[in-house]
Amino acid sequence: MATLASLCHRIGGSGSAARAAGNARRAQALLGLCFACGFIILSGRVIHYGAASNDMPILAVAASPSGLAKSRPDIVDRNGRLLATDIRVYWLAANPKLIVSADDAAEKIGALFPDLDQAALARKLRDRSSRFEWIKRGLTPKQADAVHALGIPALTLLPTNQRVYPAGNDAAHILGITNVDNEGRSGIEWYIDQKLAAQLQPASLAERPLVKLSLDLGVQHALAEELAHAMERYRAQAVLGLVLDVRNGEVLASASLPDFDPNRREQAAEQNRQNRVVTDVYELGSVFKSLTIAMALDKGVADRYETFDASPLAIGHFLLRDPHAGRQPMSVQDIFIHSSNTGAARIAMAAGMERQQQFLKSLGLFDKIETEAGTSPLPVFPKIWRPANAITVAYGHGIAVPPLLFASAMASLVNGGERIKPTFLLSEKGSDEKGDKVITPETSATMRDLMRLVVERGTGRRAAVAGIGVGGKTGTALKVKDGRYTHDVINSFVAAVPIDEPRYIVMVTIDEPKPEMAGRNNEASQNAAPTAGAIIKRIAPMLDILPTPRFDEAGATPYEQTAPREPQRSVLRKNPHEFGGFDQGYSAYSQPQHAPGPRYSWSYGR
Amino acid sequence: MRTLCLLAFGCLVGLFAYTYSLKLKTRALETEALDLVTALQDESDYLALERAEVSYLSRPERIEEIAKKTLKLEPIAPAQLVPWSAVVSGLGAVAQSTGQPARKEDGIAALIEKTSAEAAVGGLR
Repeated sequence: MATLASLCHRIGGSGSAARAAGNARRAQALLGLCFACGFIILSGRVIHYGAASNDMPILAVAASPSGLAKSRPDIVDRNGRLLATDIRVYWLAANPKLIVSADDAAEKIGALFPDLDQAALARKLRDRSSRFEWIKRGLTPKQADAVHALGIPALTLLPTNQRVYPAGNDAAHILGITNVDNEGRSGIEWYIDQKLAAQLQPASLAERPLVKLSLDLGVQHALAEELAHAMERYRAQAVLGLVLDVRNGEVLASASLPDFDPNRREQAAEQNRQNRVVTDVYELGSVFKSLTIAMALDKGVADRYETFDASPLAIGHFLLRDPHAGRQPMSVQDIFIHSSNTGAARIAMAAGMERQQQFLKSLGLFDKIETEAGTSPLPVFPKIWRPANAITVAYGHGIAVPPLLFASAMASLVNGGERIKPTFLLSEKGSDEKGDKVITPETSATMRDLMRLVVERGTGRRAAVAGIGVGGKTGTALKVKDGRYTHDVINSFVAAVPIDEPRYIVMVTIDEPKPEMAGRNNEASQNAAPTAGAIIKRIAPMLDILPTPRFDEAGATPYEQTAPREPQRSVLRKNPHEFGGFDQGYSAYSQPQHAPGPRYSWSYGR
Repeated sequence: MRTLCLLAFGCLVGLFAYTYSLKLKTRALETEALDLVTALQDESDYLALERAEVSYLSRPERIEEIAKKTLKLEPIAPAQLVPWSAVVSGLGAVAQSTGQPARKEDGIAALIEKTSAEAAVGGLR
């Protein structure tokens, strides 16, 4: 304090010691105040930290879980089974500057990864001018441990995320692919990045948001396997199939073969990656007659028993023949059941081009279809609708649509006439929400009945499944190659199950099937129909489709009367083709043989 | 006054020492927390890997193959399925049968009985 007093003395001058003492006291008080303030501030901080909430302090070195590739949401099927997920893998890199012996290192690394080219690796590591070289991507934790154990300081392991698809080939086309940076490039993966990116930001690998699809993995596998059998059995170029919920448009399964393993996408040929169900258009042939007949019934052009001439029909210089149609007129019902081209053409002519176009438009067959798994190309249809177009479109030629779009149109025909939009995500549509009405419920009921008859005694007999009411329509379309129709065919079968109250559309399309054995033809009734039957047989128990009662036990009467003999029968017997009947053990699970309905055989199948 | 100053100085030194030790403790805790976060991350990675593994091992393709090889079961035929109501009524019948024999309407049996009775009446002997 003496120093302080002398200081005050010097500042205050020699005049007054008392003044100096006063100054000193003031300075002392000021200093005390400063200390007090300092202590109060420090105490305040301590109390502040003490009273702070118990949150984790933000760490200076927060670990970034995915430094290199971004994390993606998991994709699961409708039952929560994992279809796509991320796992932690490591990318191996090296700094050649730090490597002591490049050959030694290359040999050690080469021993761990026999697929690496050792000589090239040694060359890479010998390059002293480089500071960073990739060695291998996608190391599993075990491999990473092994690399770590090598003890080469120049090696760096960079943790990153990699997409894996545990279900393998099943649903590969729907899920799509990602690139090395884990960015979606096609299918649902692309959709997630484009549409759901903002909503779904993963926090860590274990807690990631889910994207729930409408697919059912079990159904998907059954479909893909039966299609693979069909492809092998009929030596086809490609096959595709789908299962669609007719009430809300959810796609339960969709397969396109040949396919690829999304876990080894680099090995897949370009054409195998094509999702034919959505991104291809096909002339589907006679399955289009369902639309022609539904239009005629709905617009009041004809009723199901009205007869039409089925004799050959001249279109310009071309004569459209129906080799199996007799001279007698056929009813609308028979035209559908036996798939008569000339009959369907005459029905379309009776309805008129305007109505035909309007009806197809109302079903959305002139527009491209946008789904989560991709957008289809625009359907191919005549720009100027001429009478010849109206005739060919009536039996499914001259118009090419994506199979998924056609299946959704067929769903509208059997679900009471309501238009649906196919989706690969679980539908949020409530049961009370109704889509646009395309046809009346009465027409829809008639169409269901006609489709049932096709399977009972028409071209679709081999699609029948014991115990389940199946309805459907065959379609054999001539394939266009280099702008000309060839003798190769594209066969389809569109089925609705259970036909009394349809819940699902099952569609099968086989591209260029060959006859199963010499003497058999390669129409849809011989290959697409039994394939659809085999699929339905396998998926019915998974989808809770109960057997349709055929016999009323209490009343002791059969629900169904046997089909009456029809006058056409004698004419139709002439058919040299087809000996329809039940699926004769196509699948691994052979069906019990039992007598089909009346065995008159007739099919044009086109 | 001197005492007060010394006391204040002592307090200051003490506070320094306390703050320093607090800082050291915090750093240690921070390191520990970081270790825990890393361990958590590793565990969650492992969990994700295991989940993928389980899904891979239970993929339908593999299960089907194993089932065909080891189980002596046939796939369910659609005709083997019955609605839940039938199961419930079946259970009801079983419960009833413990007391007295259940009488179930059998349409087919009734039909056969009826036709054979008619045949008998009609003289087809």
